[in-house]
Amino acid sequence: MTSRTTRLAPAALLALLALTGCGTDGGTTGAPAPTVGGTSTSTLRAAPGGGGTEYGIERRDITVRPGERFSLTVPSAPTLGEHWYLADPRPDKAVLAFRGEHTTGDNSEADGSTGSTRSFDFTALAEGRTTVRLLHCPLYTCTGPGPDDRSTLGPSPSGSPTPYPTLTADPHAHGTGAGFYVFTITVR
Amino acid sequence: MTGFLGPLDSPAARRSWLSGLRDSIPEAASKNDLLDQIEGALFVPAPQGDPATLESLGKRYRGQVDKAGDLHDRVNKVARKGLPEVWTGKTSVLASDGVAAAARAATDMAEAFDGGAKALFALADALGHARRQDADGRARLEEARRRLGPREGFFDVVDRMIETDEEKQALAAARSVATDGVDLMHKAAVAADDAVRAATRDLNKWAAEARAGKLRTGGLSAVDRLMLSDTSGKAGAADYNEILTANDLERSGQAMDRLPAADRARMDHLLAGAGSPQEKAYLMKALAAGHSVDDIETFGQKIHGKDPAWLQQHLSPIVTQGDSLKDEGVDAGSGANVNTDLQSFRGQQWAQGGDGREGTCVASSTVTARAMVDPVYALSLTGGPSGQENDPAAFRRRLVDEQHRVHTEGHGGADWDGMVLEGKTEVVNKEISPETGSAYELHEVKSAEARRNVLPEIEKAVAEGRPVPIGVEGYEADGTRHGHAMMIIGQEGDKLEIYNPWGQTTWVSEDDFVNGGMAKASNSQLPDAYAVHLPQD
Repeated sequence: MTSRTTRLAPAALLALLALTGCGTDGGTTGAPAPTVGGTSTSTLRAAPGGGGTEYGIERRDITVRPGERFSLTVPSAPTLGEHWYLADPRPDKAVLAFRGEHTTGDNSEADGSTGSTRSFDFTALAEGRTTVRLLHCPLYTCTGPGPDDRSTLGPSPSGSPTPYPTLTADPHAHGTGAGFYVFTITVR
Repeated sequence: MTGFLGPLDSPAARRSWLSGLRDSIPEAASKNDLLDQIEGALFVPAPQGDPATLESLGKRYRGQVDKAGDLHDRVNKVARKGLPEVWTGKTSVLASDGVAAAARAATDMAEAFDGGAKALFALADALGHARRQDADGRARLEEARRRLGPREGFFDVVDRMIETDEEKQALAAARSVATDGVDLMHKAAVAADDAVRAATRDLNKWAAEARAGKLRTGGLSAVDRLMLSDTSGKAGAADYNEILTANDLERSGQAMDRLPAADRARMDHLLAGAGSPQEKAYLMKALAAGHSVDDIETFGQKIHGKDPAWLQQHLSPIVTQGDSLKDEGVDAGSGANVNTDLQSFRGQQWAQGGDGREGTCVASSTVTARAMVDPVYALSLTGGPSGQENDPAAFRRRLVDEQHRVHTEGHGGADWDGMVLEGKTEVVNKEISPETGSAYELHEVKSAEARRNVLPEIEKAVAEGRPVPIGVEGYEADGTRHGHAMMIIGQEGDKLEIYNPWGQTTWVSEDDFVNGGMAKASNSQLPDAYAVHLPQD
């Protein structure tokens, strides 16, 4: 028996998502000081290697300056069989440039350590506002073609154009299914 | 008696030694340096083994195939005559079932002799070719040595600080001939090493398949032994889902013989009263796992009269499908095998944290492996205290509680996050070893050579039914490490069956295991096997 797990079907991906490649485009240099919108700074830190500021999933409204390099950093452990994708519609190219994505670990010697993160790296180009949609696919979600193919389901009864809900919960919490984590980025 | 092994006595050591010289001889900078290295290569013994003897042994095996085939035909004739409903053996086996099992055993015997003959013929051919190739290589090295002439003494070297063009050309020519020679010798050593490994793997497998003979106990009749060794689970391919592994057969036979007379009588009574061959096999598996007759009586009451499908669902966590070996390629995005089977109890997977959300891969793979070798333990998880439950949600709670217990036992990280190798060694020895009778020893296998060297032991262990814990890892460009724990649970040809505690099984090749292809069992961020725990005999 064959089961298709955790992986999105290529055709469904083309329709629904744009998968991101690894690495950076290196197109932007210089990183102005980060601008913090809102009041909480609990999810904000300097990205290693001069990649700009990192924002975690707790903050969904982020304000940055033109030219600023920043990352959206989400908990992501290869040992849990989960995947994150930069989903369509992509952020407005006039406002943000996507530089790539990378994984950072917790330097643990333990097998099964879940402390690593996945970062989606951007550069703010010009003033404006746009959204970044990250799709989280925990183990055995976002399956491919077949009877359990959630990526090709039609609109739900609620009229949602996508089979995945927008989520706010901790992605690693039990019972949290696949869903979008939507960030609003304001550049000014 | 174990003889003393010299440093170059094994095929693997010769392969490794010659690999180094194959790289260094083309770089030899001087005549003396080249002579030293040529002598180093010639010092290596030729591939050992006599192809003619191996071929002769293969022919003897092949000669038994027809005899086993005749036996199968004769037994089948008996089966076709319509046997009456009579019961035989100490454990009450239906005569017709016994005859059918005998026919299958005869077929298995023919296959084992044929497989053994093929393995020996292949080894004879490969060794014959390797020895010829090695001889060609030696001849070239001898020629290179002859061209170079005698070694230069200290004063010769001082006198001729400047090499003439002619000397340079002579050295280059000799080096070229020596390079060809050592390359041939290395190829011969690789071919011989690979052939010996393949033959060892296949012969171990066929030996493990000679199942009925493993159950050596004076207390059971031949037909009892045949039936017990022949019984498989209801779902999946029969050959991949035999209830009693070779190790179970051996251990249960030994345990039967050790029982005091009163316990022995109770055990005979239990077996005779079992409702199906599967029920009987699970009782013997419980005995093999080290349970007392008291425990087995209680277990027997819980499973008595259940149909084979119920028994398999509750007592065998892993079902291997007949098409699971089919290569359907890998997923382009994750690098994992497309052909992967989910392993679940009524829809609830045998997964870490129940849904894959906890970093308890070490504890979870250990719990599942223990459930594979101990049906009493498996039933406590699936069927609960009464053994009669069918609720997947309750199973999940018990499974996760047990994963947490083992995670804590191995001093795993807070919030069910990760476990280091020391903890893993502790838990596999506390949880699995008592059931299989083999202590586990950690082997770090961070190079392809180290992984190649442990393959025969892994294959022997899993062919006999003893799971092998495996650690895999991968590194990001910035040095970030990811580590994951899985379990090697089966072997077929050059393939290894891997249980991933995400709740799934798949097959990888020996080449994948040796050369960083373990992503097929998880994902591309976890490509390298780096540690295995091997059962010690």
